Amino acid sequence: MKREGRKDILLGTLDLLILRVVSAGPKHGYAIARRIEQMSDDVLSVQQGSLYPALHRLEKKAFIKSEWLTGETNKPVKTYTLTKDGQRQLADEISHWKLVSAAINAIIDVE
Amino acid sequence: MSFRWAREMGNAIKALFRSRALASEVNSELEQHIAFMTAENMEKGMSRREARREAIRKFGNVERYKEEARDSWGTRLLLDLFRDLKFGLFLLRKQLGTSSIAVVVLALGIGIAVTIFSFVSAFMWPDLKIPEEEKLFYTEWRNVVDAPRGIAQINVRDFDVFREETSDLAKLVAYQLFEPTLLIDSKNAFAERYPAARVSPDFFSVTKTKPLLGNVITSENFAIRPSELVVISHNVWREQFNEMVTVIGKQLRIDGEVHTVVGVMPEGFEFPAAQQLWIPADWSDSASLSRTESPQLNVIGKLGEGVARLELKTRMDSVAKRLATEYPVSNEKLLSVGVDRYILKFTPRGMEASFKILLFLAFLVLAVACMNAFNIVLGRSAKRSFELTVRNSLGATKFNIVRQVVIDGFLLSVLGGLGGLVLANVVSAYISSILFSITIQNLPYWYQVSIDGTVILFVLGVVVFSTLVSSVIPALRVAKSNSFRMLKDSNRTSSGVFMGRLSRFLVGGQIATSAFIVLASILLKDLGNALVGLSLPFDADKVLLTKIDLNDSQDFKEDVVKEAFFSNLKREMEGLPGVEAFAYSSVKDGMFENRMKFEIEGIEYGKDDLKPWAGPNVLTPNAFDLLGLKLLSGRLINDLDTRETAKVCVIGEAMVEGWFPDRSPIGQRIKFRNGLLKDEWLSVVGIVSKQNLVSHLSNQNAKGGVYLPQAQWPLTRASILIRGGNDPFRWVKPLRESIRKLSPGLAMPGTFVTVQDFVDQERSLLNVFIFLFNCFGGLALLLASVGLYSVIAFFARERWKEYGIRTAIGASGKSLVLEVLKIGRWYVVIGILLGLTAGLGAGKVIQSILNAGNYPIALPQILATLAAVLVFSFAAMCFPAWRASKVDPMLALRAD
Repeated sequence: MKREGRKDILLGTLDLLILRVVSAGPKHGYAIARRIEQMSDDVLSVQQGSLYPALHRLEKKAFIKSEWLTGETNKPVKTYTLTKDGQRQLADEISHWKLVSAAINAIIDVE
Repeated sequence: MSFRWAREMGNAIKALFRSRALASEVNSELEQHIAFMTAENMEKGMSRREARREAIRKFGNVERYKEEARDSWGTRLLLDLFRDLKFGLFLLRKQLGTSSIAVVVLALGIGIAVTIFSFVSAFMWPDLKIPEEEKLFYTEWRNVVDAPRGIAQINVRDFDVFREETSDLAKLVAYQLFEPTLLIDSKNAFAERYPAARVSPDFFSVTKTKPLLGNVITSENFAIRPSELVVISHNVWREQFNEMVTVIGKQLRIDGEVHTVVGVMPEGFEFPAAQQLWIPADWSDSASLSRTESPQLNVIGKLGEGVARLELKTRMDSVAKRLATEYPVSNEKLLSVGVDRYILKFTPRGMEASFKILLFLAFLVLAVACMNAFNIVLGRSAKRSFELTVRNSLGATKFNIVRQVVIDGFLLSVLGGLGGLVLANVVSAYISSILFSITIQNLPYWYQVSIDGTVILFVLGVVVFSTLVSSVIPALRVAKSNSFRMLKDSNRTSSGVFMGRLSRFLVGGQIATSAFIVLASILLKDLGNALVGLSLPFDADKVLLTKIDLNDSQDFKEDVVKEAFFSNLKREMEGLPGVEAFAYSSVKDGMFENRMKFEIEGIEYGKDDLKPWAGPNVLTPNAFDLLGLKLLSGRLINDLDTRETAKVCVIGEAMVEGWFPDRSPIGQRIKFRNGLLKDEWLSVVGIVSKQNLVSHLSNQNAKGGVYLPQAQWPLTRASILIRGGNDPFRWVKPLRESIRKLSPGLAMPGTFVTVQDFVDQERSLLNVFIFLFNCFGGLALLLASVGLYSVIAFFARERWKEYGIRTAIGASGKSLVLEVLKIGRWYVVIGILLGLTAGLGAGKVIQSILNAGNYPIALPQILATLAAVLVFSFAAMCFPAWRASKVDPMLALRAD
């Protein structure tokens, strides 16, 4: 059951979310999108139009790497894995996000 | 340390080469996404078809996502560029006719521009292979004609003063050029002559060139053994010492005096011009000489850090003014020096201006070629206007369209550039063969016409330039054009929008430019030939020319000994069977004069400036016959003119015309103002026919020669002229043997050439200029015709259908021909008028450069230009006109 009023991913946070999801283990594009939705309790939805360019961008930056693996369906599936650079980048982005969100929360919570 | 950057770069490069594979990966990945969605939908109970349809609907525009995914690799721009290039190549093939015309036209234009540039840069911006060469300068007296000594060189005493008083601004050094003989005692060989320089001790400090072996001359080693040292060139080291490594300390004789080799210079070092030996000069003993007698020096130097030439000149001028007051006898009127770029010392005056004109004309030709390419690219774009407009309407950005048209122009320019480079190589080689095949003088080492790095850079610049000129405006036009109008246009090529006023204007401009260049080249050729048209009155191929200099040898201190040597050698040579004539002449080439001022007895010359010029030539009586000088009146010099009899001279016909217009010169007396002949009255006894003189090129006041008997004027150096048989070079060996027999220590004459060789060399630069101007003229005509042709053909093509219909309803071929010819008539008329006007202006400039005010620009030259331009224009228009008259109505209508 889908919730009404699902929010698109906040600008600039998609990379962070992808890295976070992939850090748990190799995943293909569709699984990444679904996982984001699940983990956010269906609050966030990933548009295909931004998912794949983001994946390719991250791959180009060498934060993730891709392989064609044979999955359950016996068809080769393009699967993404986090690289060492990606782990470092993820740590950076998480700490950055925490800083920013704490700051934003602080502003919201005043009064 | 992370190598992420390297990996990222690697990924991008990989992506570039795997673009196709990547695209298919993206496709599969998106397909896989849809498959997962479908599977999920099926789990919800949908049928397979329904599930897939729903998945695709939810996914959205698959193609757009594919594009976006591909874009994320950042290779889009490159891929597009690559695609445009591919399309450009396709266009090149598809429109082979216009492509080849454009490429040929650009190759011709670029070829000529590159040739001229390499030619001019060889002379004007040569590579001296010397560090900080831009700081080198030469300095000499200016406005010396009225000064007591009349010599531009600076004497030792003045040099010392200048050097000391400018030491904070520049380093001044001095040299004297000479051509001594070199003999190595241990070797049993002929003495050889080499161009050499006597140099001031610190001479090498301005070039900073490190010797290959040993040392250069420095103030230190000079102080120990002045003037016994010699530094030799790489050439001398190879030719005389077989590149012997232990050459340092070896001894050799230079003009009979022993010198010790202290250093060998690296290959290619021939500074200051073509020198092979450098000998330290000790001018200290000239301290006792008066300023007028002390040796004259070539002074060069290197500017200090941050010093401008003008600053040095100002300082030197003020020193000069002080010297002029302190030493009026020697330095009066010597008030100013020139401080100029070093290489200009070896560049004939006026050459710089001529080079600029050449460059200007070359660019003009290139511009005409670019105009052609412009019209061709415009025409091609016009043909594709429908396609381009559709692309524009479908969402292609302006940038995309502009880029595509510019790439079309770029491909044409690159091919043209390559062709031009090949052409330039061939033409440069030809020019070098004219200029440097006969080398009588020792040319400065940097005179080499070649396609070097600078030239290649220039070619690249030219290609970019021609791309921009030929395609950017057409591209912008296409991008700007109105889609509705274009799509409505039934012809689908929208000529009105494309071949607008600009193209017509350009064609007019091309015709004007070509008329201008053709007239200028005809004028240059005519004037050049009139001035230097050496139709020698004798068989110059059969006369051997060489020179001998007794100054070098210690054995010829006295006039009597010299005289005896000259007459013995003459007798010796004339005694050989086959020698028809053996003559001496005092001027360097046997014929052409060194001008000097003279006066005619009984005429008052208010100022020295007003005295006429003439070239004195001391020669033997048989030289007249040898040089084809015919007696016109009076008598020639003969053996009865000796030192004891009155001094006499024979003058050339040109002298009579110039300086004795209203009275017979026979019996008159003339007097030269300096040199050997100073202040001796000479009676004119005869008049001989005139020669066309090279000296006219440099000064029109020289009105011909004055010939004096050798018996009355002892010679020290002379030109030797030998005639006998068809091969003059067979006398080289007998001459060298005779000289060795008479004076074993004497230097052998250096170069042997025929008089014709000499004339060819004198004319070589002019010949190159004439050749280049002919190229310019011919090319400009050709290019203008191509331009005219392409525009007329375009307009005629536009009206193909109309012509077809008219033919079908009975119009005659003739009327259609006239119709097409009419399109071009105004361009031709206006172009010719403009071109001729500009050409006449240029003629005046050429006249003044060549000092040829006396040679009028006449009607025949204008008519010839007119005829040439008309014929070419007519020919250019004829082909499209003929084709218009042959239009097959069926084909014309079907083609639409």
